[in-house]
Formats: sequence, C-alpha cells, structure tokens
Amino acid sequence: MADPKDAGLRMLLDKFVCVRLVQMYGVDLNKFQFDFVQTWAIFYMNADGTLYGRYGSRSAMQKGSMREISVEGLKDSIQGVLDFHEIYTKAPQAGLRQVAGKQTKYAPKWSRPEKIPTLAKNKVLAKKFTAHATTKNQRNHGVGCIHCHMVASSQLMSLRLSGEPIAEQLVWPYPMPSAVGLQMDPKKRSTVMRVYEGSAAAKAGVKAGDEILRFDGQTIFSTADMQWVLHNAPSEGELSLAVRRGEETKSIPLRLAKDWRRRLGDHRFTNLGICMQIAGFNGRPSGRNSLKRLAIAVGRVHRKRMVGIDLRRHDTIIAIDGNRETMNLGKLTEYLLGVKPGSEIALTRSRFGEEAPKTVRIKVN
Amino acid sequence: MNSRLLPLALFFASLGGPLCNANAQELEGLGGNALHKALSDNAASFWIYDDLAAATKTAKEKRKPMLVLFRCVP
Repeated sequence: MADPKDAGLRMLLDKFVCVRLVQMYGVDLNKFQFDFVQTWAIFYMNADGTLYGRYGSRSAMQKGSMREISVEGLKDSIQGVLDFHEIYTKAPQAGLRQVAGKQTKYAPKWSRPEKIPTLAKNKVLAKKFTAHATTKNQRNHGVGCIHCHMVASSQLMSLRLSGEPIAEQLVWPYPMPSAVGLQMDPKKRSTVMRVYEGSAAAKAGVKAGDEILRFDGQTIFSTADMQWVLHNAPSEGELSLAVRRGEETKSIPLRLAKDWRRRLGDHRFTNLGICMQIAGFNGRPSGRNSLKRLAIAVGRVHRKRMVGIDLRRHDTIIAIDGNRETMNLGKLTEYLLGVKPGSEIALTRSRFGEEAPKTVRIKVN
Repeated sequence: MNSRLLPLALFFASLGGPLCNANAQELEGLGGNALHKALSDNAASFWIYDDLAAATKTAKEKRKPMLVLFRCVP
C-alpha cells in the first residue's frame, strides 16, 4: 500500500492491522463517533475495543487541508500511538486512564446509520442497501453507499422532524482548535503553530511551539483528538491543557466563554444541504456588510418549491422573520432547524436593480 | 535542436527543474491529495476491506493495534 516514495509511512502502518470501511452502512455509531463531515477519518484502536485516538480531516482533498494535515503529521501521530500501545499492552488500566475520555460519551439515538429515519425512508438508498455495496464495482462507483456526511445531516433532520430537541453539539460539531485560538502545526501530532491574538488560548497563555500533551485529561495524538475534546466541551466552562514548553511541562486552564462554538466560521458544506431541505434555499454571508447585520447571498433555490415565490439566486436576504442580526451559515442552519415543520418564515430580500426590499413567505419542511 | 538554442534551453531547464521539485515536495508533504494517495494507492493487498470482525481477530492474534480508516473508494 501507500505511496511507494514514502517507505516510512509504510513501515509504520505495517505495525498495525489496517481495516478500511468504505461506507457507513452497518457501522456501530455507539463506537464510531467522529466528525462525519470529514473527507476521511482514522480510528486508532486496541483489539479489545479501546479507542486510542482519532486522526483525519474535513478537507483532505482541498487546499484548506494544508493547514490541518500532512503525511509527516500522520507519521508523527502514528508513532505516538505505537508508543502508547506499548504502555497500554503492559499496563492496560494505567493506559486506559489516559484515553478514558476518548471513549464514547453518549449513546446516539440511532445505533446504526441505516436506522436513522430520513435515511431509512430514502427509497432509492433503501433499495441499494439490500445490495450493500461490497463488490469492487459498487465500491468504485459509490453505489448504495451511506456516506459519512449523510449521517450527520440525516441525524439532524430526523431529530427535527420528530420534534425532539437538537443538542447544540450536533449543530456545531467538532470545532477545530482555531475555535479557541489555536492553529496546529500540520507536520506534528499536537504542536501549536500559532495562537490568535485575543483568543481564549492567548488569554490562557498558550504559546506557539507548545506541544499539547493532554487536553481535558486525554492524551493527544492529533488535531482530531483535540476536536473530540472540544466537541464534548460545555458551552461555557474551563478545560485543562498540559503542554510541554522546552524542558518544562505546564498545566494551563483554558476558559471557554459563553457561546464559544457559535463564533465559528462557515465551514460545513452539509449546512447548505440542510437549509435547502428545510427552506428550499441556501446561501452564505455576503461581504463585509454581513459582519454588522444580516446579509445572506442566496446561493441556490429549489425550483419546484419556489414556484410563485419571488426569491432568486444572488438575492440578498436582509431579514428573517423581522430579525436583522448578523448570521453565519451555522446560525442560519440553527435558526431554520428551530422553526416548526409546516410553518412559514418571512424573508426580506433585496435585489439588484430594485429600489425597495420585498418580503416573501416560505413554508418550511 | 538548433545548437544556438541549446544553451538557452539548458538555462531554462536549470531554472525550471528546482522550481518544479520544490512544488512537488510541498504538495507531497502538505497536500491532502498526497495524503489521500498515500493511503489509497496499491492498497488492495494491504487493507482488510469492510470486515471489522476479521480485523479485530487478526489484531488479537498478532497483538497489533488496529487502524480503522473510513474512506470511500476510490
């Protein structure tokens, strides 16, 4: 396997039993909880079921991933796991204490993806589930696949349609370390490359070059491990960081201000799909104006649902139900998820060439 | 090739070569595509596909840790 030029990665991987799951059908969601919007994800595990850690990226195929992952970083992460595996093998109880927080935190409402109602009711997919894409040809063409990202959006839509409350962490899942002001070095397993001025990390005294050993008591092997900690963090509170700075090991408390998750930028393409499913349109904040007041540039509209409704691509939404407060894509998604299915929302939109804004009403799913 | 153009061609080749190599190395080291390729190419004989139970059994027998990758094919 592996890039023939990178014998180092191959040698490290040879020390594992490597298994590849090409789709989510049948996957135990009690065990495998991760950022489902990732392009690919790795779990490091013991054969007894204990999770050692996670690795992966939301954007492995995009330029943005250059800030998150690298072959060098993966090798460093794997080496850390191999070292830990030796400790765990010799003293499982002591080892488990270091990774206890990485195990499943809560039982999901649906234990397997195919049980999530909006996926189970999808007739096209359901027909193909029976075939279960196991042949090479099916795998190569993605036939019958439940993709990882479908799990995330289907959970949200199914909870919404069943009228159940949706946990904040499902709407704002797996924050990157940048949410607390940390940019991690992609070539290392857990070294801070940059600390953003004025951020929670800067206020706590974290510095570039610090190696994060433990976060909330969990041994850290990757940025994905840090995302797991942040995913399960409270909406307001404190987390402990243990960092190596030069020869010293320091313990640093990291304060999470209220609503720290909601300050994230627009990075979840699945939110575009959720907005489309609920309201028949999607869009993103439009220009600098969107930082001060609501300004969402309409991206796509669902033609059939928009018959008789005067909303088009490139319109700018300047108020939703009279609210003109600024929203990023995450906040727009959260707002729409909160609207009762079957009810209406009022969008005030402006259009180039028209003098006065106009309000349109849309019935939501 | 015209002998008068040969030195010119060699000059540009000497400029272009290192630049191309630098780009390739950067992508190799940092790009997601490179990483994806490293985890995918020629992998059929290396990965256990879609059989977590078999992988767990093998890991127990060999006393090795497991690496479980979630990734579509290709």
